[in-house]
Amino acid sequence: MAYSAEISRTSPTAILFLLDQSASMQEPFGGAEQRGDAAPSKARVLADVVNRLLQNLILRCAKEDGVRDYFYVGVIGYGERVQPLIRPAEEYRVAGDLVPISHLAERPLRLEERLKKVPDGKGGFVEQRVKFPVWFDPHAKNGTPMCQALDLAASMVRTWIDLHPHSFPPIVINITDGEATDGDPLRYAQQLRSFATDDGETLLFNVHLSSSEEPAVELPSSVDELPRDEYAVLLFQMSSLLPFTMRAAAEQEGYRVTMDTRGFVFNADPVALVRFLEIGTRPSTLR
Amino acid sequence: MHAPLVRTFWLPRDGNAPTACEDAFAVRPGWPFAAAVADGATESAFSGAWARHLVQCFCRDLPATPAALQQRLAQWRAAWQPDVPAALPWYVAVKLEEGAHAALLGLVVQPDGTWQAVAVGDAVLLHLRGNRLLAAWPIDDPDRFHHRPTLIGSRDDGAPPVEGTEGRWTSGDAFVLATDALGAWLLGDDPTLPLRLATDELARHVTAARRRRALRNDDVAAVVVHCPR
Repeated sequence: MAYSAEISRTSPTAILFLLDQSASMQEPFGGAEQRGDAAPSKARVLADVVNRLLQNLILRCAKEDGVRDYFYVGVIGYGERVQPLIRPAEEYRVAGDLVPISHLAERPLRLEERLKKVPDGKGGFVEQRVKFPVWFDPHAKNGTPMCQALDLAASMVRTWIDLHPHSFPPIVINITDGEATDGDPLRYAQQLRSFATDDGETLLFNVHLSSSEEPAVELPSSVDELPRDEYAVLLFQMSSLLPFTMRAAAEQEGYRVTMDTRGFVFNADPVALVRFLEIGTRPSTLR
Repeated sequence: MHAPLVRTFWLPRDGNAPTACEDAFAVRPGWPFAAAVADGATESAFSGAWARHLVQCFCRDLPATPAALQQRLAQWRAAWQPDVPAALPWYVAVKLEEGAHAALLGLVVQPDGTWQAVAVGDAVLLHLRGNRLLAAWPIDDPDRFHHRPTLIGSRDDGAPPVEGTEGRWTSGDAFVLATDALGAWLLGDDPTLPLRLATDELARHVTAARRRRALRNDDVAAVVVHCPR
């Protein structure tokens, strides 16, 4: 069965993040509690989203004696330039320009103190100070060369697949407001998805951060579920269908999924997408 | 009457060192006889140590019913101190806060011909008589195992759902307590294998089944209990 390869230290997989850093990301995010000028910029939300995705991914691999390299990670920013935002150290060259996740865990840009609400055991909540690792800050300049970013992702994915032909296929998570300025990204997305390991084609998931205040959408199965937004429709079409194992995990978490469910979210939290990847026994009480 | 005889078996997942095995077992010889297996969750830290703590506590306190186990849990949690390094990286601090998690299966065999078992999670008890499977519990279908079982958390306040069962044994009966990957494979293949094979032969079968992907590559542990004749 496709998409059933083990994800482990001896058989790691690749995760590539594509971050939209174009000028339009300075506009306010439509999915925030605050409205208008009080809303955070899409660039701020994107930085938060990618920092939380990385934090969650690292925590899934963390044990008492360190972080296990189940994943090799790449980050491509696209805006003023299209470029890898993290560079592997010399000793990691073998991984095809991707960085083992333990390397990221040890080297956040900084650790911020944030307040988190936790249950107080009496039915209420108390605020607790927690350390929040930050790897990326907001950045927004120039156009949106999404096609070039997908093209660079395709070449990095190909290198990874050449070195790991039997692994769980690479996963690419593109976080954007959707307005490509360098062509038709659908064609590039199809090309990227066509590169495959023995276990299946590359997975492309899209996270749409929009200024539109339409309701959030998570893991839709048809365009009818999307807001009336041409970019949402395009990003939905670019997204891979959720493979069986991820659909089963989503269903267990209470998501309504079908054979047509795609890895796409609109103004919603995408952290669930990385939770659906199976790396071993996960307590049902942990979200 | 002699107490039951036991054989134990464990193997870390392929690619891992034996010290990384997060499955655990314990046995209480004599009467009442007890055995337990526990399976530390891959996705929590300190879960191997928590699994070892749970099986040892079970074999010391013998809580043979769900109510008895629930009653002991607070005490077991309070008595557990993981070996925490002085300087904590941020991710270990978060994992410590979440606590360690493990599945637990405990069996108590009484000299009067009765037995009781309790379970949280997906470790499996097989009751065998004359090379025939009488019952598998709490899961009897190899397709019903998944990656998100309910487990015992070291820091959870609440009580996890504990299942309980009981029955009678007769002379020559055997029990196999197995953690999930091994239990699922035995149920789908041949549940009597642990009775028929020597330990090193069983290890070879497990390794071969992993290679052909009939057995999920996970830590495995089992206790085989032979009731007296």
